Amino acid sequence: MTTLAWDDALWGLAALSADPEGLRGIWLKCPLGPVMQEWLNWLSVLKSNTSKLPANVDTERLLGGLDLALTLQMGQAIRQKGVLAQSDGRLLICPMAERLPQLTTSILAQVLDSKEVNSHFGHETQKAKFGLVAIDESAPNEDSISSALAEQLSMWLDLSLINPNVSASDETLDMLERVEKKLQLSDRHFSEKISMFSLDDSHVHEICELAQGFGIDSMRAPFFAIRLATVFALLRDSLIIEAEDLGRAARLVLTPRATTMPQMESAPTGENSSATDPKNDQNAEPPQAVEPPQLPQGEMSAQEDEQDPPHGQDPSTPTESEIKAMETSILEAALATLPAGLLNQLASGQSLSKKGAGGRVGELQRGGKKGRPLPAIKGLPQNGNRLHILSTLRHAAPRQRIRDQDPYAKPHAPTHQRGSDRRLKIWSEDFHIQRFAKRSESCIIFCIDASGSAALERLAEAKGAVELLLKDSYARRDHICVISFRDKAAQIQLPATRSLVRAKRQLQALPGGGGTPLASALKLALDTAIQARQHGMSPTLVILSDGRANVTLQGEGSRPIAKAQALSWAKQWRETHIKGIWLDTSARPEPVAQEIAIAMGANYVPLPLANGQKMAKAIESIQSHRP
Amino acid sequence: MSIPFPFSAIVGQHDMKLAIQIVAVDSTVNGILALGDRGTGKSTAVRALADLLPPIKVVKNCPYGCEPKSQVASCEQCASLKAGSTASQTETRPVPVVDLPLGASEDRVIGALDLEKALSLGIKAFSPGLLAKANRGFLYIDEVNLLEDHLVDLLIDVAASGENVVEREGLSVRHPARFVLVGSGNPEEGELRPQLLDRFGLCVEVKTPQELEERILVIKRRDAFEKNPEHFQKEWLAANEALRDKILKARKRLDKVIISDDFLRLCSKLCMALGTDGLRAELTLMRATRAYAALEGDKAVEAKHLKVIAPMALCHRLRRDPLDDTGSSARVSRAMEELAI
Repeated sequence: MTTLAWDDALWGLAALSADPEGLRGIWLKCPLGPVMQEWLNWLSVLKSNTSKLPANVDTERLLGGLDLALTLQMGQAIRQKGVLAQSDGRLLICPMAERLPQLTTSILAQVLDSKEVNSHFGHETQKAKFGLVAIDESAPNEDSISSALAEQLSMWLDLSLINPNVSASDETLDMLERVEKKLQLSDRHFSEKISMFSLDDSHVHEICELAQGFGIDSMRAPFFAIRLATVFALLRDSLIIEAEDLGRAARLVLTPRATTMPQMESAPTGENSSATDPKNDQNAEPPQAVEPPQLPQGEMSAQEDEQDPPHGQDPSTPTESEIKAMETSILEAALATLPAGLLNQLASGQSLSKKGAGGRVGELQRGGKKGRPLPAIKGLPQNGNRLHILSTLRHAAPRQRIRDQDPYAKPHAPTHQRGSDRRLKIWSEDFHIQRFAKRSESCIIFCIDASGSAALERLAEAKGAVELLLKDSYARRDHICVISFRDKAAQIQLPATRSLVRAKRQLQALPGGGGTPLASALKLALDTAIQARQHGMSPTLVILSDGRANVTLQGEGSRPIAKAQALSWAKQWRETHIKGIWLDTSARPEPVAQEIAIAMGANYVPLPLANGQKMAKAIESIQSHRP
Repeated sequence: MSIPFPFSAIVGQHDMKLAIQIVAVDSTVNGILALGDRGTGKSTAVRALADLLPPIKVVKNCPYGCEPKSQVASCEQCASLKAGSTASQTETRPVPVVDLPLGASEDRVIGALDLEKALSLGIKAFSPGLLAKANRGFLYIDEVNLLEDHLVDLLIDVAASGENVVEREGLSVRHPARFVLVGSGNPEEGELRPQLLDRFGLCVEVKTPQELEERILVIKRRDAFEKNPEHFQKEWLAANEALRDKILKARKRLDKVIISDDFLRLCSKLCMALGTDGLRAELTLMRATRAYAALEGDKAVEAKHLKVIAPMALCHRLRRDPLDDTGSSARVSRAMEELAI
């Protein structure tokens, strides 16, 4: 995007290097590429003692525990610090953070929050104040990092839109150079200064108000923003927080978390959304001059001009209007790097951050070799079974003395010379292997035709069926996902969930009417199903439709093309061998629906007089016929 | 251990703070479930407990923190000490507040064979887990709704019996594990198993303060705390001690609070009107109102206490009907209105 965004990225980096323990980390959303490389290069320049956290790190190493190699060698338990305790006072870089298993993310989040580690064995607590750089390479339609972890990271930085050719402003480069020198002198340079820094009430006021305006519920966000602004001021060698610092902190902390658009004094959101279109073009272009961020570009300042006269007429006290002016300018600064599309979303009341932050990352299902660990059982590490070292040791440990005295074990070895032979005696009867529970969660994907042709009452029935299924879903461990299609395209109404609260809320808001974009629905259902499968769930698709497709993938009205596209996606579906059931909702069985259902390899069930109960039963019956 | 944020410096959150005080007065109320978004200060409030409550007396070096004078519920080691009629030495420890990490292994939670002793001495010994550590204190589970099923089963059992029984790896150990279960989570991310839900005595909803002034206060205090925890703790020492006194006095008064039959009838009527399952609701209601009355310094429990406690104690016990949209707290208050409480 713009120089401004890149500057922000570098300031954020410098701030994290200066104060890893207060700012806790960055959620860096960025595909692998020159921009990320450049960013990481800068990081290594500023902070030499970073360590890397591989995504497959095990709990033992993460939290610390027995050093197995040494333990075996010495014949006594040797403890070892975990990665987290080792990186106390450092920066921890975690590539592909979106692929971290849930266990690891929850541990990371907990340690970031409490700043100490309880090691895996024994109960000593160790300090672990580190900063985490969570690099998230997820594609737009994939899962990003877990929301529990994201909550703990102060800055949410998106580098994916930054042009690789962009260069930082001189001011930023100066700052980086200064910070590098200071950090070389002393790691604690900034943390000492931060604890002496005194805050101005008006700044806290502004940040809190802005956070509230953005609809951010967590109190961590405004706290992080204040802390970040403090660090920015220190990076500039100043002891006073300027509007510029607040704006930059707001851009890095608050704006990405925003769920609504703040109501500005005389510019209601309605006006905003209508004004966003021209802004699209202006925002996408880099600003004319390479300028520090104080002046936000384009539309916002124009709006400000319009607002000013009424402000002047308003006989308010000078201090109040000053505060107001400052707030609007921070708001403008906060929105300066926001891509226009997102701004539209905000203005129309759709949330940004709450979307796609389900934070359930799973692995591909691979037989019984992956999944939730079960207690280890006796067995030999053959056929790809992995040895469970700890259980093996546990089994062997109490038998050491007996084995020491057992003449058959080592006939020639002297039995009581502890110094000479203290190695553990592990016999094959000790071997334990790891077992994993196959995840058996199922996910029912409802694809509901909400077009005009599927009568509205049918929609109500479908909603009823979904709610009924959800009611039992907890006991049956089903996830439910709802896709609706109408008008121009299909849309995920409800990402896979087991939550009653959310499902109910979403279903109530399900609108109806318009054309039938069947192909788009099948495409989305396919994507969703494959994603569910990647999470280790077994998906089932339930389509409620009359099959009369009349809107193409491109969103244009054309019956023959729409049908052809729907058929081709139906064939793609068939390739996946995922179970499907087609509930024909038309008044009489519809041949087109049957044709598409057959092309999909789905069960075709005409349900001329469906009701919620019947549907739920039909779905249950197909689910119980598992291959 | 790092310094926790002082309990009395927490802004707002009246329900949560009250619930915590109630379980601190009467631990038989058995647990708090705090529901709400992240960053609303649930963890802060729970972690502050260790600092707030007075330290407990325990048998010296007892890994389970057994009570020196109690006749029942002590571990094997202390039981044999007592049988030997030698006066056991005591020491004081802060009230344990144990954080159960979401992905904790079963070994870690219930305890396992002590590898160090096994390897170096060849002795089969038990290395106590988190449940042992939480004995007589609090067990805090963040995101309890995402907890693995096998751990949930385990907790349900231990929370009910107050005893952890380990029969595995050749070990046969039983030790007391009486703790107050404190869970937090966001209901939007997954529901709790009804069996576990029922184990929590009180359920409170935690929200971010909606007043700007309160929010500013939160940030300012947090900032002051992060910058200089020691100093901040000293500043709030007096307030924390006053609160501690209040809890201690309430504990003493607890037995003297009068519960009339009329009041119990009222409780039962309320529970019947709401159709709660089992008698646990009535029991919790009675205990929690008694603790609340003791905290307030009242001599007898009255309807005014019930009015405050009923939503906390009953909300999560109502049968859920996904097709009914009325919030559970609304149903509780409606039932109370009908009974003219």
